[in-house]
Formats: sequence, C-alpha cells, structure tokens
Amino acid sequence: MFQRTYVLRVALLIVFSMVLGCSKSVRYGDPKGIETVSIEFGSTDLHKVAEEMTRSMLVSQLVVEGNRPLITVQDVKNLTSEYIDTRAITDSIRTELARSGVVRFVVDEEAMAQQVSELDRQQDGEYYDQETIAEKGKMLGAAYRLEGSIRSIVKQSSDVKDVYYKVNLQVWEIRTGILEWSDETDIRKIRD
Amino acid sequence: MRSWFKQLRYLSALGLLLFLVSCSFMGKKNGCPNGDVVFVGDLGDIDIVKVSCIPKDGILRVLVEIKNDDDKERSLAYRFDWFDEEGVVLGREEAWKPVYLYPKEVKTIRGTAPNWLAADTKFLIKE
Repeated sequence: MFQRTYVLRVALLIVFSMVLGCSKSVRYGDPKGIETVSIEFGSTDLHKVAEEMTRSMLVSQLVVEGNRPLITVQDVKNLTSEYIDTRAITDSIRTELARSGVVRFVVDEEAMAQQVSELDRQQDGEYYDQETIAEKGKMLGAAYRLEGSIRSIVKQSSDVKDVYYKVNLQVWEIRTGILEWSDETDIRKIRD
Repeated sequence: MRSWFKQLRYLSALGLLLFLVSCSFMGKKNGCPNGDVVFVGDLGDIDIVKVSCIPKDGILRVLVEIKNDDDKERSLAYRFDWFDEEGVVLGREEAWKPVYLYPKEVKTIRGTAPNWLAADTKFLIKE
C-alpha cells in the first residue's frame, strides 16, 4: 500500500516536472517597441496612428495657442475585414490630445448615459450637500466632432500576405458643418 | 528737467533689458539647441544627413534626413524624445515607429513636439 502511494507520488512529480519543462518562459517586453508577432493590426500600428494624427492636428489651424476648442469624439469606424478594437485608437488619440493641453473634450455619445445618471443621482439624492451638487443644464456643447475610419486592402498568395491599412480622421465644425481638419496615415505589412 | 532725463534713462535701460530677455527666449525657441541623434546599436551604412528644427506657431517641428548607403533595403525603427527649456523630458516616451529605406534612399522623417513646451529634441534610431 505504502509502495503504491510512493510510486504514484513519484509519477506525479515526473509528470509535473515534464509539464514545467515544456512550458515557455514569460518575460516583459517594451510596450512601445516594434511588435511583429502577427500581420494583424497591432500595438505598433496603434501607437503610430495615434501619434501621427495627434501631432498633425497640433500644427493645424484648428488649434491656435490658447483657444482650446471643445471637441466630442466618435469612435473610429472599422471598415476592414478583421476585428480591430477601434475604441483603443479613439482613446489613444483623445489621451494624447488631452495630455498636450491644446484641446478640451466634452462627454461623448458613449459616456453620455453615465454622465446623465451621475447628474440625476446628485439631483435626486438627499445625501448630498445642496451647495456642491452639479446643476443640470450647465454642460457645454462641443464646437467640433472628431470622427474617422480604418480601411484595409488585403492581398494573399500561397506564401505571401500583404495588408495595407489606411486610417483617416476628420474634425467637423458642428455649427456650420465645415470640415476643419482631416489627415490620413497608412501602414503596409508583409508576411512571407 | 534732470528728473525727466533720469526717468528716460531708467526707461531705456528697462527697454533694453526686456529686449535682451525676449531675444534670449526667442533664441531658445528657434531651432533645437542640441538636436542630438542617437544610434541604438551598430546601424552600419545608415547616415544622418541633416537635422533641421523649425518652430511653427509655437510648436517645435523637426526634419531628419536619413540616408541608407547600403546596397540592401533596411527596415529600421525611430522615435523622438522631447525636452523643455530646462532639459527635462516631456511627457511619456514615444513609441518606436517603423521606417523602410530602399538601397541608397534618402528619406526625411518628420517629428512634431507633443506640446508648446518642447524646446529641444533627441532623435533615436535602431535596427
């Protein structure tokens, strides 16, 4: 009985060691480094798009020192055939612009429900100091809206895959409907 | 009369001081004082032809002319670091961005500062 348990334990130990031996090691990488693990839209592409578009907007006529226009953001439309988290593109662009301090953002369509809910909570609740609650009707309307799209052209043969991405962003003046700024950037990735 | 001259002398001195101060600030804004280029690792036949800093509407813009003297195409990565007037790094580190060069090609890489505080830059390039 003792021998059987002993043998079982040794066998388990061997199996465990083999599993550990076969598993791949984990290491930290540079989050801003060039990533070429696969041909799909990746972190390098996301950083490139966000940086290029933000910097382009910074030197446009839209942003004049001190005017800090109010902008609302709409998600970048994914018009490619692959799944791309376009919210990540939108968020990165907004964060970069907010960090530069040259524009201000108002609540976008997606966050509106939460904003209204918080206003209602403060107004309706009897737990808040009436002098500190946020009044309704004081939210500022955006002067501009930012929108964009990402498209791709994919070519594939038996041993080569070529993907071309084109990201286009536009800023429209809401009151007049004038296109105030637009730019595009492209990325080409080849797997062979 | 003498007091009027004295006042004029003070005003002239103040004007000259203001002029010199504004000139010194303008000097820092025009172009990048250092505009360093850093090769991360051995890049072989890759040369930097020219680095130009052009401030426009208060935002520092940089043009880096890079030449591939190699007979093969090269796939490299670059980024800019940005510094304020005191030499402190601005914001977070930029991401490395890919750049593709044909044999003997000269390419101009454009960089734009992340905000109005940038007064200097460093261009980093690697394989």
